[in-house]
Amino acid sequence: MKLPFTRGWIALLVLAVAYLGSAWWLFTRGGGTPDRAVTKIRIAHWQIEYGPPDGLAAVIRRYRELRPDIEVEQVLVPGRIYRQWLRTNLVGGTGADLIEYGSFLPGMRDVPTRYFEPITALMNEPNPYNRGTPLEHVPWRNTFHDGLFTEQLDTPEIGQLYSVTLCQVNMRLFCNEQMLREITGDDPAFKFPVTLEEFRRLAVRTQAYARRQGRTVYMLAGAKLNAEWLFEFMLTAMLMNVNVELDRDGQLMNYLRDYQIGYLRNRWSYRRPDVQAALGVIRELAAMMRPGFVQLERDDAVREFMTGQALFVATGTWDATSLIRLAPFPVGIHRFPQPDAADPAVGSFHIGRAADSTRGTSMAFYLNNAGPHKEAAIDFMRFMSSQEAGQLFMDHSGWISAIRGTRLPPVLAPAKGDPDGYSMGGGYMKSGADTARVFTQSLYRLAGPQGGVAQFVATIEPEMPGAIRADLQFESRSLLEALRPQDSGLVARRRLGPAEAGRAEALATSQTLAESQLYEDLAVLAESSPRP
Amino acid sequence: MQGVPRGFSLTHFFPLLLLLVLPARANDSLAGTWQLLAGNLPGEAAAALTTTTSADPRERALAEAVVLVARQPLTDARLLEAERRLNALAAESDEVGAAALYLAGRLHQLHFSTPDYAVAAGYFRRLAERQPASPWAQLGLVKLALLTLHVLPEPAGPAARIAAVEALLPRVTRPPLRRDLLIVLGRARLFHNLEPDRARANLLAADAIGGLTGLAAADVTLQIGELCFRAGDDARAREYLQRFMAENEADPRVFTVQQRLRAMATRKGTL
Repeated sequence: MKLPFTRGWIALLVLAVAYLGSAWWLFTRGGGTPDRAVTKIRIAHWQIEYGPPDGLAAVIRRYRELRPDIEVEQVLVPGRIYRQWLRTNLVGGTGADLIEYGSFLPGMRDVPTRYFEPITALMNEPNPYNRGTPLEHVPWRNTFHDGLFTEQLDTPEIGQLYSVTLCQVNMRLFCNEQMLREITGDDPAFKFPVTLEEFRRLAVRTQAYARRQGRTVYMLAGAKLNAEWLFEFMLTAMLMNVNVELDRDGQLMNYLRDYQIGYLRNRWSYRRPDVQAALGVIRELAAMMRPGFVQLERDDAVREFMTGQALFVATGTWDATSLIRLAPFPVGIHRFPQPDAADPAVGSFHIGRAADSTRGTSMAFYLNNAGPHKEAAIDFMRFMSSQEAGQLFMDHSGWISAIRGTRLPPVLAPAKGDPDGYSMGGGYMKSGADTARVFTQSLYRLAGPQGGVAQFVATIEPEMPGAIRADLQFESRSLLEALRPQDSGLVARRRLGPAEAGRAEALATSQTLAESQLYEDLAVLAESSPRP
Repeated sequence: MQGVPRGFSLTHFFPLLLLLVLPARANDSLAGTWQLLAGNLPGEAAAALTTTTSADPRERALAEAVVLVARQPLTDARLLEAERRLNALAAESDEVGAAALYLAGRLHQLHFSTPDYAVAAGYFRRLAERQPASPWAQLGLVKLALLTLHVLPEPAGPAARIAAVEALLPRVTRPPLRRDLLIVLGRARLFHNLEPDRARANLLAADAIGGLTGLAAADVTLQIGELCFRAGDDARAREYLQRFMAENEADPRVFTVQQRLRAMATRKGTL
């Protein structure tokens, strides 16, 4: 049928205009795109404090510009319910596509094996989002400050990489710089304490300042968690000689199980003179906090610091953004003072400084093996760990990026530091939930005005063998849970033939080496079991 | 087309291609099940098995038994059923039978709510006697060594346990498994505080086989270096510690290793 010239051409023109208008609308307004054209993925984590959600939001916004076909939703889950949330969603098949996980989450050791997918092969290739940067030709795994060492340490299968990390964290002293100037006055000789003895002297000056001001000022803001972090670090730093003794296997590193096994095999205890001397220093530090700090939460310590009632708060660099943004005074970041060989309390067995900075990276995200959009999830994983996204994350979160080549803001330089000390692990205060309970519940006997080292040791020593056994049993059970699913994986890989032979071999090695630890643990539990 | 007879076209090859494709399809379908099991998706693997019709019946039966072991929630009753099926498969001395015997041993070693190490050891011994060269038998010997070193009631005493495992060593001939057994043996010597020189020799022999990657490789390199340092073998200690430094730049132990090397330079260090 031949259309009359005027009506036909007008109709065609209207159609063309409508088509072009619709196309313009679709291309320029994301919201106008039909949902089925957009792949939606979810990324879940527990870092809901100031900083990380902003950092990730900036990364997601930039990613949306690059990949309008993929929409990323950030799922913020409070830490106190994270484990239950994670387990429930993974079992129910409703887990997010990318999930933050840490091997330190109690009772969750089987989760990576069961629910996460390794990305090792991809890690050996360059990250395409690093094109045009100095990392362009660098294998993805080597674009992280630590070459993903920490992830290798925690991998459920030796040789396999499961995750990418976003940040680096260290423990630091955050200082009210204005108050510090008021305390030290114009003393030209003052320099920030490097040794424990210098820290003690500053504590004396702080007390004098408080008296002058007629108000209470503590040297350290007090709360249970902040105290635990500080005390565990200081115990590790002071007892490096015991760390060396416990390194039976010559690995120059002790894991929590080494402290448990060492204790159950009578290689250390709280009765040792050097351990008691170190506990004496913990008593000194506890006296620098407000009484009853064991009952207080992290927020209480932050509030105490923010309101000028404490000169320092000891916490991780994960709190840096909150403290710097919210404090009404300049906040400085400093390394912990450490004892030296001249220290009157613990110098006699001093070996060297403990590492308070690590290249280790954290905030690790894993790929859900049952996720419906793995390709999109992997693409976002690549982008969020690219140099561009690392910089965006650091600039918007205030957290140190895990990615090489990112530019550190000057304010965060002391938070990063250099790994210039011994790093041999630590587990004197807690090697699991039960030991933490025994130590912390009795801390008042160490810290209280009527207490002391002797009372504290007399209280905890009878309870510690049982607590350490319980923690070691828990670790063994968790390891067993992680090892079980590997058997079916191994049979499957071997049946898949040469293509999977390498992976099958690596899995067999990984499983065997982990099992040797499991049976060592069981042997120690058997030999140390209480006699009826 | 050179080499093709006149009057012959590609269509003449279709029946032959069909013959090649059909068995490949059968394998592919079971390969899909194994892929899902390898990815720890046993529920999906079970579903895939229901739609697979053209697989080898023994291979299929093995896959079904593995699905039984892998699916949650796991019960001892289901494991008993898996063991029954695995024993039926183990009646034949092929690779499926070897895998079945190995897995039956593993059920008693790791999976049942109450392990029975003696029964597990019995499966591994039977497999090693029946099919000694099978990769499953070789791996079973490594697992038998672990049980012997730490949890079986006999032989009693660390020295006797280590001697019993030394006796297993010549039977493990596949290099990666022999390497793993040497590491396990060396570490057991350190664990029992027996013969550190021989522990070092075990680790050196494992390193000579090679093939370890990642942290496992780093640990063995560092252990050899440190044990040599402790024994006063500075030349070898230096060799291994320097190798560790070169290969593990981001390892937090690098600082300690640097101190070790410095101490060797003066031989005054105590850490």
